[in-house]
Amino acid sequence: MLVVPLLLMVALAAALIVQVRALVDATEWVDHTDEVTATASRLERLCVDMETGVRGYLLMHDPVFRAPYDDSRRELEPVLATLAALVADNATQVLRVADLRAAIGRWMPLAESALARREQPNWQVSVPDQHAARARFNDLRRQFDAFRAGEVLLRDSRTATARAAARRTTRVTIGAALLLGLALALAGARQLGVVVKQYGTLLGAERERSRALAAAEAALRDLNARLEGQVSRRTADLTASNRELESFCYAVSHDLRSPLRGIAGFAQVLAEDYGPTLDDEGRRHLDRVRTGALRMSQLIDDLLELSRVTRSPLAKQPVDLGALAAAIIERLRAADESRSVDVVVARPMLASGDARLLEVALENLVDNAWKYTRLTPSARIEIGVDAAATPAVYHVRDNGAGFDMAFAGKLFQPFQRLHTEAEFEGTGIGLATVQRVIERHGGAVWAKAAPSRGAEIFFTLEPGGRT
Amino acid sequence: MQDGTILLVEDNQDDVDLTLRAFKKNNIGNKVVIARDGVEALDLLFSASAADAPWPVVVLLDLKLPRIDGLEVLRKIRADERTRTLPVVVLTSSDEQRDLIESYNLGANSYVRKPVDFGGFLEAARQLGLYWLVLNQAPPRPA
Repeated sequence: MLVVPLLLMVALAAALIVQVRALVDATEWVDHTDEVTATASRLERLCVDMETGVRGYLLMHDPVFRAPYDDSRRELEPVLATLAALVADNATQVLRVADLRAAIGRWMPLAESALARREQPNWQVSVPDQHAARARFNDLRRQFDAFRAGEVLLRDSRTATARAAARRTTRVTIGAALLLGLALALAGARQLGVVVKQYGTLLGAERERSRALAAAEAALRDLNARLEGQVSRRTADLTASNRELESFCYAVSHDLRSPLRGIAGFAQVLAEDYGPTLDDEGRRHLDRVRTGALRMSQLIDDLLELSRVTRSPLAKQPVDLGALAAAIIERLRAADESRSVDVVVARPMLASGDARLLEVALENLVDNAWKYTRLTPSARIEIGVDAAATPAVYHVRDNGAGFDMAFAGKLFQPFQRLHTEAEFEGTGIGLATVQRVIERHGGAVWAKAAPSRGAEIFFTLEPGGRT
Repeated sequence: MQDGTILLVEDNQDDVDLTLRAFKKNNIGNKVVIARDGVEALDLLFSASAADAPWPVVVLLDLKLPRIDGLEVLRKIRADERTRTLPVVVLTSSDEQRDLIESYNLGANSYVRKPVDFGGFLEAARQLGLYWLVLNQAPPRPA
């Protein structure tokens, strides 16, 4: 952008330097002329002094009067050489210096011979000689005049040259300044234009960005509104389906059990009132009717518990799982006093969770351990915690029937059983309920077992453990 | 109703028969009056003829009833001066928490879940009879 004015400035500076150099040269030439003129005048004075000396000596015959001649004669040749050197550049003046030298050369012998003759005893002034010398000296003076005139001419022309150079320098300087100013103004204007254009572009881009931002914001708001709508719709859906589930469970709780009570009850009535008239087979069939009804009732109870564990709100608080487990064990011992089970419970075993839900989970786990050690000679149940782990890992361990780890995947699915009803009774909902409780706490539950070597169920009550 | 009468509010005939059988098996000889729904139960309690009729010693109230359900019957019993102190035992299949809580909130004296197993049912009937008909001192009949 600024390259043009810069180049221009350099060019102008160079031109200016050239001009000033020319001016200085021209001025030097003028000075040179003055020096030449001065040297020529000095040379002329030497000649005049010589002539004065000759005339004085001729008149007075006293060496004092001859001194100017001798002094000037000694200086003559060096000054002449200087002048010749000074005008060496100008052919015309070189010729004139040669003429000067010749004129001096013509006058000098006459002066010498006149001086020599003065030494003779019978010296008499020679008028013809004096005229001849005078004529030659006058010729010499004319030569000087010619030389000076030539030099004046030269000086005039050189002064003119210097003046022209000065004028030219002035013009060039003014021109250069104008040109530079113009160039700078143009460059400035152009630069300004570029800046304005850039600013305009930036402004446009900024406006575009603002518009895009506003559009994005609007889109975001729209999305938010849609999301909120979706969330509230989903929430409404969920609330509706929860309500539906609740009324379904309520109906199940009320209506599904009544007919079962009828079936079980009247099967028993039949057995009591008409048992004697039935054979063994008939009585066994009646018993099966009753057992089936009771099993179905248990299934309904377990299903309702599973659904309750899912629906009920979670109220976290400090819970001593050890105390809960001990109470469960006490109930189990009271319900079946024939069992002798070695039980180890870590006391206290503190946790944070919903006490009611955790009791349901623990009850299912301990019930299982109790149930599956029924056939084990020296049954042992351990309920403890690895508090060093993060999060803490709780376990319920038994040395009972265990199971094949190949089926561990089915363990926590509702209605999935790894034992037959004949071996160990159950609905297959207990561990599903346990898993639901643990999941609601954000924890994980998993198992380790081997057939006839017992089972261990581990669980955590916080996220971040085993996944 | 004669003194010692039990008012059984139950719409399911099977349950009525099983309850009566359970009472009989447990030698509970009290007269049992049966209401088939909530409206019938309230009519029996509040009708003009009831004023001079014998007063029930206990009401056995099912919750799931046609027309007016058990909880509403309970609410009306407790709202009326004549029946405010009448012992009411909720006898139901439900073990829903909200039924339990709502029953006690409305002033039920007891909440008993009917066991599916008839053995359990017999035991429940025996203990109910023993408690409400023998041990418990019923409040005096309002004037």
